[in-house]
Amino acid sequence: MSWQRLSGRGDVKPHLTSKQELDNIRALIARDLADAALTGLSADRKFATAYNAALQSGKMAIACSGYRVSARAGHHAVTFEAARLAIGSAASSLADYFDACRLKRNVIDYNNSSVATETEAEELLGKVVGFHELVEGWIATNYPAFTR
Amino acid sequence: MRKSPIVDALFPEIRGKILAATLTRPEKRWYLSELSAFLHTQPSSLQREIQSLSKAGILEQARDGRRVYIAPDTRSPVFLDLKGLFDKTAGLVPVLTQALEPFGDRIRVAFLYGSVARSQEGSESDIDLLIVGKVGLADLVPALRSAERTLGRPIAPSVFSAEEFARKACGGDHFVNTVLRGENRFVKGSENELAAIVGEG
Repeated sequence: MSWQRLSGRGDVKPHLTSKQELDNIRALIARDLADAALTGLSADRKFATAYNAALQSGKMAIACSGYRVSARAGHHAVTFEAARLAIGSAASSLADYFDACRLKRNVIDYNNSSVATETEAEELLGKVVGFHELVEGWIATNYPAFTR
Repeated sequence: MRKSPIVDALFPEIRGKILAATLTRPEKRWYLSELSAFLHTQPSSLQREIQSLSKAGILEQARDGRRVYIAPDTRSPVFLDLKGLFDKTAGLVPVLTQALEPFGDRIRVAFLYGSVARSQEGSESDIDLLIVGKVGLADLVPALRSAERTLGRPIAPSVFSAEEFARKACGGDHFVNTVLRGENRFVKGSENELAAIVGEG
């Protein structure tokens, strides 16, 4: 996969990001990570909220690379594919994992309740915290002007 | 594409693959191009075997417009016997057992539930798989993706720690209790092991 190919398919568009835009996404991620850890929230909502933080973390890496994902069907799958492309092998297994979580999150949001288990929601939250740190580390190394 | 040493020993390669693909999903109607893509081979290399299996009444071919589809002939006197053989050697349970084997004792129980466990699924139904143990979805994803490619169908896993499963079983959780009351097909462990986990709650 390459940016040219993603761009050629219309999956991503060129995009010039800013520290302000990234800080806005950081605030959104912080909110979702805090909400996903709330006691009393259902496992489904914890899962879906943590998932959104993963999606937004991926979006940060894509924005730093000079792109944004086109708003159309399948854009979540493209986000994880493009995040893997931006960050490289360090993100590969996490991108596969988040893509599997995407399918579960679709069922949670549109079809059924009691889809995610507490075990899965807790695991996802831990993985997303790790992924967000990975993205921040990658930004600090490759795009120091955008560091938090 | 399903592989089994027993099937490999009993049947020539292409014939075994055709029988495994069709008999483990008897409700599915395969077009030749679809079956050849699934088996990673050319349509021309399947045709002779399909003709032979159709002539023996094991497969049936029917025309749908300009295309011909292939399915097991469920009226064959040996259909159930052959299906049983392929379910045991190349069906969902053996494929999933192989996929989960590397996790060893980290998985206490794994079983199919829902329409797949009742053998009432449609040809494209998700495979609902419940796993109880000390294993995470992140660890399972590569193995399950590989099994999905083999089976040609999506797997929908639900992963529980033993503690969460027991607590929900004893606490009247709707999903867990529906699963426990329903028909399950074990990939790892047994009813006894499942009962032991519930007893820990």
